[in-house]
Amino acid sequence: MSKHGATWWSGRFLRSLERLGMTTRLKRGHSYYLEGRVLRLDVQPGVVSSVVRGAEDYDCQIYFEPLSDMEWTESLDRLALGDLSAAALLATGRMPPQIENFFAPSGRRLLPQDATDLELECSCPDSANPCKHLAATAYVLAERLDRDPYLLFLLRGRSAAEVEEELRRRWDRDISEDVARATSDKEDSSELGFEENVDKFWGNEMEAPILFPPREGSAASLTIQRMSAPEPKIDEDAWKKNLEALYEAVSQQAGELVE
Amino acid sequence: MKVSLDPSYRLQVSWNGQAFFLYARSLVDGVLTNTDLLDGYPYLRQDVVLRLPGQTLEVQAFKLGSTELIALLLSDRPGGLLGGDALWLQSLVRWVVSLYQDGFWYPQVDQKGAIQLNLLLDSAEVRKQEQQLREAMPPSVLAAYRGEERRTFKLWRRLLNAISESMGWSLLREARTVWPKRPFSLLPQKYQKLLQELSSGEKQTSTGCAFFDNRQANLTLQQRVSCLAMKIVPPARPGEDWQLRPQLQSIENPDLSVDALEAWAQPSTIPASLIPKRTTPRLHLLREFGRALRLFPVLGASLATTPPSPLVQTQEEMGRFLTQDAEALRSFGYDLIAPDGLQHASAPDASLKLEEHARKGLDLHQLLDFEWNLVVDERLLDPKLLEEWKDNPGPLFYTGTEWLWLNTKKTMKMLRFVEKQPRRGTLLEAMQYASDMSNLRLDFHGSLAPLNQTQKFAELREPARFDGTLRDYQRKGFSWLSFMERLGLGACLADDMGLGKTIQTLALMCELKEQERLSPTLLVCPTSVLGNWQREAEKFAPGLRVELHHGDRIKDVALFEKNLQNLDVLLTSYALITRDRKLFLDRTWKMIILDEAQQIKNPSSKVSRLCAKLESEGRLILTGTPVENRLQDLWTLFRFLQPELLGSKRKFGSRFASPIERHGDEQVKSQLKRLVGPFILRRTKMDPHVAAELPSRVETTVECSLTEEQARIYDGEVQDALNSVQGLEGFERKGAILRLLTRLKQLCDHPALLEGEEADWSEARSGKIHRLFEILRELAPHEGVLIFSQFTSMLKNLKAILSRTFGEEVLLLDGSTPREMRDQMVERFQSGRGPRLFCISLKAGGVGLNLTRASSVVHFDRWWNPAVEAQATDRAHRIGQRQTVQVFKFVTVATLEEQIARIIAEKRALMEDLIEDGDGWLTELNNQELSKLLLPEASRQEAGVGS
Repeated sequence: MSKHGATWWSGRFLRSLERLGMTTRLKRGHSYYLEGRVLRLDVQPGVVSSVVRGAEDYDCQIYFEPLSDMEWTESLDRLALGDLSAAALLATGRMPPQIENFFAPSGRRLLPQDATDLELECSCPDSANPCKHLAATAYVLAERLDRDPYLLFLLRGRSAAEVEEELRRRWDRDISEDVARATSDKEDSSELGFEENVDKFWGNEMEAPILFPPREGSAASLTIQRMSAPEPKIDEDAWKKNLEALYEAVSQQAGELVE
Repeated sequence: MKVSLDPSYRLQVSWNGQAFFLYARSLVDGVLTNTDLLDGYPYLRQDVVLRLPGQTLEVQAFKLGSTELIALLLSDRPGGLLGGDALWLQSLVRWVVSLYQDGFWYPQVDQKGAIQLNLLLDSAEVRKQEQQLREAMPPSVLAAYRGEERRTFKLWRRLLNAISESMGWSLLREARTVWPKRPFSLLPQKYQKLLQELSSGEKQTSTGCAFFDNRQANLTLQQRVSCLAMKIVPPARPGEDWQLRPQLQSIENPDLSVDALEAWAQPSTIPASLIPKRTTPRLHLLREFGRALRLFPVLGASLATTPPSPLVQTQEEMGRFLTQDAEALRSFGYDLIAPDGLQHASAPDASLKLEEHARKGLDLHQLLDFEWNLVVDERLLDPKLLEEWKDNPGPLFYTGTEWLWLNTKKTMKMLRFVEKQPRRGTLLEAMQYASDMSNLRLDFHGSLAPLNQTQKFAELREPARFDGTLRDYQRKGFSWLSFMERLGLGACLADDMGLGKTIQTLALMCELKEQERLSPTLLVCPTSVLGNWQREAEKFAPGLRVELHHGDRIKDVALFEKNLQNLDVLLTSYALITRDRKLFLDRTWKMIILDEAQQIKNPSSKVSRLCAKLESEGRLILTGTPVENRLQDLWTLFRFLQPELLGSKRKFGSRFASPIERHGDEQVKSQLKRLVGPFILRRTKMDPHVAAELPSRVETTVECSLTEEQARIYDGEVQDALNSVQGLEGFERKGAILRLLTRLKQLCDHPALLEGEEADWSEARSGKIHRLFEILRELAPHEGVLIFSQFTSMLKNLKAILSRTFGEEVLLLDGSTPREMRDQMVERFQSGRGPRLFCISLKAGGVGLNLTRASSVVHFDRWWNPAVEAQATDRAHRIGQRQTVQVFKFVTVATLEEQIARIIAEKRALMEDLIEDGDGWLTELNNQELSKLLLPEASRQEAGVGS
């Protein structure tokens, strides 16, 4: 089973920033991030803007160079018609690990490659670049990326909906539009009627409770697997161990209820 | 809960959308109530309005919250018998407990910190269970509901949530007590706090975060329309490759699925119900692939190409997939579509084939050949293939025709076990094995083959001393009894009443007599049936020396012994074996036969324990009920019949009763059935080969006795009456006689009929009621029974008595029943799902009701004119049209009923010509005939009245 998908993505983002020589400067902003000093963060095509509270409230912007239409077309072509597993992951809102391979042949990357790929601006008086405020913004951006990897597409010029639409057009190119049909409400739509038959009404046929045979084992570990740690900072294993303790305790109590 | 409820009431529970309301319903008169009866419950009293069939009522009830309801339903004795809705809620609560026990729940924390507890209902197995529960809900659960929501699914979910949330929070709070010293270490402060808050039942946390975000994760199937399933395609031969083909399967209807790979190539062929709104086929397929990919990375190989391709696996890879990934996939709701043997890992059972070593006579202690094998779902595994498998064990096994998924560890264990087993043993040892091991099947061969299936084996002819002809099914029964007796095994003949268990037993006795292996045989039966056995024995087995042990205590034991040597069968009653226990315990009988064995079903009763202690070479039980269905009774009967089979009460409880009754374990249930099967032979009136040989009516005269009180009053009445009639003539005389006859008839039914308003209607005062109970207990639990009487108040009270005694609803139809109610009653009776006991006044008869469901008819008292009687009952109501009906005519011995019955039988032909209704002809008798009719006291004593 793959690890919590987004951690690696936001991690990669941060590391790519480090490779641009920002390590020490990033550290400065970390405490600002932890203290919650980034008040607002807004992502638009090509730019991330934020408001960070230092001595005063400062405005920050991080500019990303968008891809050209041609570069997008080429990359999405590769994505749609190559290894479908990448596209499949993308279709469920996760970033496939090999995503950059689809953009590389066009000479572009999603993540920042070099200094020219990013432009940093902050209204604070600090001369260091990036300042604490920009660094804190970068951390919050990383956190957002965990929850929505498509943000990086947006920063490079295409929204999630647009990417999906373009992929869909490539796959469904050879079939007509009206194949996509609406379905009925899948819920059971039966209505409360009224039962006149006395025996059916009282359920007289039921002479004993409905019993289900005991299951072979607990599904707790599988359930826990689905609950990824709430933030990328948290060690996945520690999180799992603690949840396992919680589930075991609940299971025990439940067992005692029916003894 | 110390509150207990009278068995003729049921506890009912209804949900109004917020709270639960508890009340009681009477089976006798349908009245709904709570106070008085349920005094002692610590709940809030509140009236509730219920919508019932045909009326809306305000009922006094108790109001319970979810937590209180859960505690009530999970307690061992919730205070009485549960009605359908309460039983259903109990099932629901238990199911939710099992979900928490097995980890099918998760906490959801939103941005604002509010915590919600949800159930995880994705896996195919859990979804099926949910559906089963939802569809079984009795409508009365919602009798109190007044809300706006009308869709059953939504209401179901709300009810489920009410219960699961409440249970979840209390479990979390309780769980605190088992925390280790420093829980949640290794996590940042914030999250330690979160988990601690969660565990203390806080529904709000200051840690705002959204994890378990449905948008990203493929967590629950609740919003989805279809998902992937994996289809396993085995190779034609071992050594070749396996295929795993993704399928797109409907969530609502798992039977609908298409091959995902083909669907990609031809998206227009996908059924619309598999594609959700606002998306297109291929995008949807990819999305489902993507979700599955997260759990099942191997799927990536399938997607490496466009279009996607099936996964090709070697046998080893397939084995690994099954053991490592299959369960995980299933729990997430991804179905595994595979041929039967590959659905689950099977642990093979052991099969023991028994055959006699040499063709000698069979007996219980003879050495037999044992052949041990492994078996999976009725398929015997080839031992040679198993040897090969043993060298290279893996989860996949080819039987030569199909593939099986085996639990490797358990299979090896079983193989090693089987290797160590002896190759010879006795039948008794084999039965012991079967009783001890939960996964052993016995396979009988050679002359033992009849034990496999009690239907097919060699049939014997009627023994020479037997004076009569056996019907085909009776011949089979007799042959089976003979076979079991020869083997030395206990036998239980459980044919329906009326099929002739007596005759089959007499045939067996005749055969044994020929072989001089009969004397002394002890036959125990209810007192009222003693006379019947004597008569039948005289008729069908005249050569048998049958003696009755009855009457005063025997003082001379030596004489008793001497007598035993001169007889074949000693007849006695259950009442007397306990009284004279020493006489019966002090010897070894050739055979002991228990008739109407329901009498000993209470294992702690004196008579039951005594019977188990009696010693004999052979044992036979006769009963009319399907024994296997009532576990407690089953154990008690086998304690007498073949104690080694089911072991001690405790062993039986843990090995069989507990798994079956508390956990609904179907496997254990069928194991038990297999184990006891060879010992039980049961035919019913509905069996085609039996029904063909039965007439549509089988009439039985049921002899009842008067109680001491009844006898006293009877004598008094007769004396008074005879004196006053002496001097009368003409109409006066006729009138007096009629009055007398009616009074005596009433007395034979129940003395209270002669008394006034405040009469005591206890069942102990009536000999007929006592016998009625015995008969009802010998009938199968759902057989329809009609009870006719001329006296309306008798029926009214019978209804209440039966209702209380048997804990079920009893129907009553008399002249005053309005037509609508009458129709409803008939419908409920005929449906087979409602009450099975129907009391009908003879006066209400003649209206042509359809009562074909009835398989037994009781004439509690009679019209002494057979033509009219039959017309008012059977013909009027088409009884006997659909199935053979057993008609019981109650006659009280040593009273006028017996005399009149005899006269009617003798003069049957003449009687049919009588045009007159009713009993008028009796008034034509002269004084002498009259007094002969009403027996003097002396004769009554002779017949042994007052059981």
